[in-house]
Amino acid sequence: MRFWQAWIVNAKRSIMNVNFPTLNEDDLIEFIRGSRDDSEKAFTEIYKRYAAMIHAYCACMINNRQQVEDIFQDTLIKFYQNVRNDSRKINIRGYLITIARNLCLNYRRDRKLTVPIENMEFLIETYQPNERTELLELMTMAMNLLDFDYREAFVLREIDGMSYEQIAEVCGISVANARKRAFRARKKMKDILNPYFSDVYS
Amino acid sequence: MDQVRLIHDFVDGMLDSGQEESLFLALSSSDELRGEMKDLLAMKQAARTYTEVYTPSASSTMAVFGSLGFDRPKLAYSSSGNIGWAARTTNFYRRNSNSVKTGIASSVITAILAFFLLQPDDAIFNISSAGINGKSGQAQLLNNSAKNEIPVVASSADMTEKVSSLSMLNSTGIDAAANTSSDFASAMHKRNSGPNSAPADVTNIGAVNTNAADTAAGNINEDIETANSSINSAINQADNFAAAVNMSEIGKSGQFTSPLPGHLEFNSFYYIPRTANVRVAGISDFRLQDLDGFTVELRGSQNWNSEKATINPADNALFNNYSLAVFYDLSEVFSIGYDLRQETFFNQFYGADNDGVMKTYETQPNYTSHGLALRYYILPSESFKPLAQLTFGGNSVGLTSRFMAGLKYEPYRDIAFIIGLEYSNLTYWFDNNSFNSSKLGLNYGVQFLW
Repeated sequence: MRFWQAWIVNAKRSIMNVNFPTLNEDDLIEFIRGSRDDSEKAFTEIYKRYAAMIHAYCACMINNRQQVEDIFQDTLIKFYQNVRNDSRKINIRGYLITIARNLCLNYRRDRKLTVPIENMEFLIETYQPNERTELLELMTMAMNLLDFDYREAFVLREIDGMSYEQIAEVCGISVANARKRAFRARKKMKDILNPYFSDVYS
Repeated sequence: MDQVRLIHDFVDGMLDSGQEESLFLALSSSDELRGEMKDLLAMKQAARTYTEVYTPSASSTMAVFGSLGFDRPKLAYSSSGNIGWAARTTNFYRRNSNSVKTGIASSVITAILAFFLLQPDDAIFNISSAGINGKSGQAQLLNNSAKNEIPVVASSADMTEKVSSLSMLNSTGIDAAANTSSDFASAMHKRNSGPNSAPADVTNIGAVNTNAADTAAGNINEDIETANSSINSAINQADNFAAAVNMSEIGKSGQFTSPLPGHLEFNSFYYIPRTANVRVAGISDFRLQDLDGFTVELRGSQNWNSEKATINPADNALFNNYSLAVFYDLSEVFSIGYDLRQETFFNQFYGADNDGVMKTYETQPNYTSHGLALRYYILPSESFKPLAQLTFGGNSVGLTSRFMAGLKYEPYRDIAFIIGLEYSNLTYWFDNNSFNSSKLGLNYGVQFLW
């Protein structure tokens, strides 16, 4: 089966001059499973399309900056390795988010809840916040106050722009439940940020 | 549905036109709802412009692509304005690696086939039996195993040389035979043309051959028997001649077999049957002795990077830190070989990212390196042979150079053991700057000799 898939990919490649940015997800997956050269180009294209989304998800779900980068890297590396060894049809966005989600959950499960005082690092910064950065920082803090499920729904909907169907698939819940979680997350965020909004608009 | 829920759904883009109409109506009469809507829109807008979370660090991008053995999306090698020849070579190799590998593989296979198939050895280009039937007075094919082969016409100069050497062989055999039984030439002559004497050289044999086609076979059976024993005796004493020519058919009643080897098939004097059974060596002719001078070497290694690695490979490749090499002994002291190895280098380099910010990148990807090695044995006749080896080659990102000093222990004729300390350096380029990664390795392996 894989032989024929590889043969079809090569035939396509030889017939048309492949323009990777114009390929759809299925074709990109086919090329990733093809020769190393094709695989590299297809992966690069996937990276360009989805890296920001994955990184945003990781950054919003995990507070530790170094861990965010590690999970982000692991997600893409695992994605590539899994796709190469898997002949099934794959929804790239969902697949990537699922890997990232599992890694985030693993991290949350395994993380140390206490940090020895000698390992603490103190960062002192001076800056002049403007309205946008101020709101973003408050939003980040507000997100951290949400439960994991609500935060995830909020991030996937508002930051990554996924549909409720996709959110439901990734989280393993119903679409209605996904909508409910996103609504509650937004409402909770709004409640947390209310003092700020009151201050701004007063 | 309450109005707040409607606002959320509107901001979420989930309201139909009827619901929107009722929402706008409610908004027009409630400051509180309008405030709620503003807040939600501000949150949404802020989330969408939250560029910090969307932007992976350059080091993460490098790490991902490095771990997978890929180039960075914005290529490190793209600007080649003042890039050196080595970088251009690397670029060429990177772009054409498949073609280069295919070419090298084809060349090696062709060379090996040519080595085995084109041996100028009669044992390989064997002539089993060839002859003409002189009984009927016409040239007739006796062994038609390859009926449609085209006869080869050699140049007369070439032919003369070959024939004269053959004559010498022939004469040697004949003289020896004459001492023990009867003269070969005489016997041949008797066999074919009765009492007329003829010199025992190939020219005359050829003439005899021709005559044989014209000679009636009736009165020569006895002479043939005599000739047969003489010839067999001659064959025994003329090994080279016997190796070239199968004379076993000689002596069969009414037959005369050409003593000429098959590759001297045809000229103006000689008729050699078209069916001379020339056989190209097949795989069954392969002998390990033919690989004399070749060795295959399998090595493992333990490596230490010259700079402390701050990042480890995400996943080690299969056969990591193993290498396979094929060597050919140019002489007792020099060997040349091809070295293929799977390895990692810790790379630390710097450059500007897409925003022009200088950054230091660290990665430790897996590389498949190819190299051409020259090995020198200092005491070739000893069991313990000190050796020095230089290797130059490259991989997908740069050029490699290595120096190894070690020892080869040869306890048996076919197997030897290698141990050596090797310094390896990888030179690569990023944003027109060259960088080096080096490591020290302890190599140990086994060598199979032919």
